[in-house]
Amino acid sequence: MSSHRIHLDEIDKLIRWTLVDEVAGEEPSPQVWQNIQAKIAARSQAMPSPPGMRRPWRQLASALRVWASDIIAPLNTSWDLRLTPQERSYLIWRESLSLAMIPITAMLIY
Amino acid sequence: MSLSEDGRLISQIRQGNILALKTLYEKYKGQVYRTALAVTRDREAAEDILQDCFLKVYTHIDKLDGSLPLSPWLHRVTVNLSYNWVKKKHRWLQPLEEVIEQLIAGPRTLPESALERGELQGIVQKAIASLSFEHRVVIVLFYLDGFSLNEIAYILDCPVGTVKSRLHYARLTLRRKLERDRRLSPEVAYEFS
Repeated sequence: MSSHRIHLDEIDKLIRWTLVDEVAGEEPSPQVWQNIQAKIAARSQAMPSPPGMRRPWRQLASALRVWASDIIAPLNTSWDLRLTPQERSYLIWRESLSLAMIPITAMLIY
Repeated sequence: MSLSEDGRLISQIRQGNILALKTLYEKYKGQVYRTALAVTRDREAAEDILQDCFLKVYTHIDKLDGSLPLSPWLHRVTVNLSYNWVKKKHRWLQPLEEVIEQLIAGPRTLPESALERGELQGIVQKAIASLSFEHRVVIVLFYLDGFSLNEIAYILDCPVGTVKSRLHYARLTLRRKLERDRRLSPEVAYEFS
């Protein structure tokens, strides 16, 4: 090899050429996609739906809670006026249980 | 495939369509894999990074904006995963002997008439490999992937000025290293162009 210097005006082309040529034709093995599929399947078993699918459930549960609260809210005022503290406590407990059951029942149906 | 088709595929993945994810994977796998390979210089690591990158696509599909180009986001993930790999392995560069060995015995066997071409590549590869991670990543994204400075700034999550500075110093370092390498003849140097 002779001891001349490289023509550095062409440095950009030289870098690009080297990098492109270094990885040209390189492809990942088919195993990579199989691994991705397997990992997604494993996650799906732990979490039945993809992230985007969970949002409607949350929205439905939230809407049901608001709807049930609106219906029962006027009763609270009546209870305050007419019931003893023991009766009020029992009804509040029963109301909370009923509210909790609505979204759970909706999820079980689906 | 147009940008809007990426957006359509993203919507389909949100509905749990794995075939849409595969279509997206087929479209970008080469680009992501080759970038990871150029940065890590390790095929196994590049495949792991590709795999984790597309698992992140699936996991973060709600956060992806289908109206924006997907490639910069994928490369952002790729660079971060590459950085983690480098940090975890406590290694950055393969010894020069390994690089040259890969070059000669790699998947693309060089013809005998192109030995000088291979030697030139080896010298430039050595120079690129000796750069710091930050400088090397900028060089790969700019020269291999052809991203603009703005896109690289997004990928690296840093100001455009920082990208310009890194690119400038990386080129300067390469220039000096190649200038010092007296084995290069002008004939060989011009062969690539």
